[in-house]
Amino acid sequence: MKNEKVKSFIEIINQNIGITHKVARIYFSESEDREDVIQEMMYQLWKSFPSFTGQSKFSTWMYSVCLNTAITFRKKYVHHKIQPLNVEHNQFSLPDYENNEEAMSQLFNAIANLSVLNKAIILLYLEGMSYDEIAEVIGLTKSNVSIRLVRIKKDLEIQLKNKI
Amino acid sequence: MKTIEELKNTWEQHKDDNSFSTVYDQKMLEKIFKSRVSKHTNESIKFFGAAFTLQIIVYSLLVHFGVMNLVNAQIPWVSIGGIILFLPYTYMLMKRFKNLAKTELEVNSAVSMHEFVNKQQFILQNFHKFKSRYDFLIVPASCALAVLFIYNYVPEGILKHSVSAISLFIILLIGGFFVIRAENKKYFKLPIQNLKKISDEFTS
Repeated sequence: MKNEKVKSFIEIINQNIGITHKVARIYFSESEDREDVIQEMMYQLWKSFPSFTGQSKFSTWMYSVCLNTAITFRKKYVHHKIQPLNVEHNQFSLPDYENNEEAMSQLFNAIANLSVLNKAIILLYLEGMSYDEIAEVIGLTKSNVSIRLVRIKKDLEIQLKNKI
Repeated sequence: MKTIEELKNTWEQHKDDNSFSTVYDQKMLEKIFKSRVSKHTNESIKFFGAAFTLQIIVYSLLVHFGVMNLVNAQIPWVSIGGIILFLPYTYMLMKRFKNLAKTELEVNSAVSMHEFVNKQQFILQNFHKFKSRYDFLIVPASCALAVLFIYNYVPEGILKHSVSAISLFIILLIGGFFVIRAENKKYFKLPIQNLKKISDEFTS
């Protein structure tokens, strides 16, 4: 691996590493699957890194790669032994939501019940992406994203309400 | 209960915090990449293992059959004919396999989700179509060869035991059918169904 390229890759990935964890969290419930898919995401990110031209934000590009990897990730690799890295790597903690942990955990559980496409849309929305950016990552029109988001939010609110 | 907007605010407040414990370095990445390459290779071997094993068995049987019957004027020619018949299929399989592996590697993961799903679906469907046609020809031919080979060692040969030979052929054919069906379901039908489900969501 060329040192300069690796250095810039590592630096930018470490700054955005939360993306891999969040995508893995919404698509996989088992921690072993998450560990496996995160490693696959890292591999796909490295392979696709030369195609990042800087035309869009790095985080937008990274979301595309991670989401595409997650939705086509084959869980049939069950017999594959995951390469153990180090202790810290196995700590798939999400940010500390202070006093909101329970509410956030309920939100994650509600998102888990959504369809593959809707999971991606709501995740990008929660991350504060604009409708244009969401449309770019997903491959839908801006108006379609907006319509879908209304439905998804309604669906999530019903689910959260029923949990109480 | 918090509204989605309130939850979004909480989410956004913590979006950039550094409570993710992983920090990657070059050593870790190299370890991951090595593990992934070996995983993808193993998967490819498993994916095409059955097809390649079948090819090897067929060629071994044909060569064995021909060499063991060199004194007979016709049998070596039948073996050579069999090899010539199978060669285009082997060539096609290898070519398609190479194309599939190459295309999968070349598909850029950084395209939109919609485009990515459609491309993946197209690649898999295309190969599945070819493989189904290929299986339709190669499986019965391989079973027939196996029967010919076995009855070569039976006294009085296949003509005197035609009923048992046909029965064996049918048993082998049914067995082959179930093995191939399970393989196609696992590696093609289910992944294609999943991709189609996602793809349909885009148009619903």
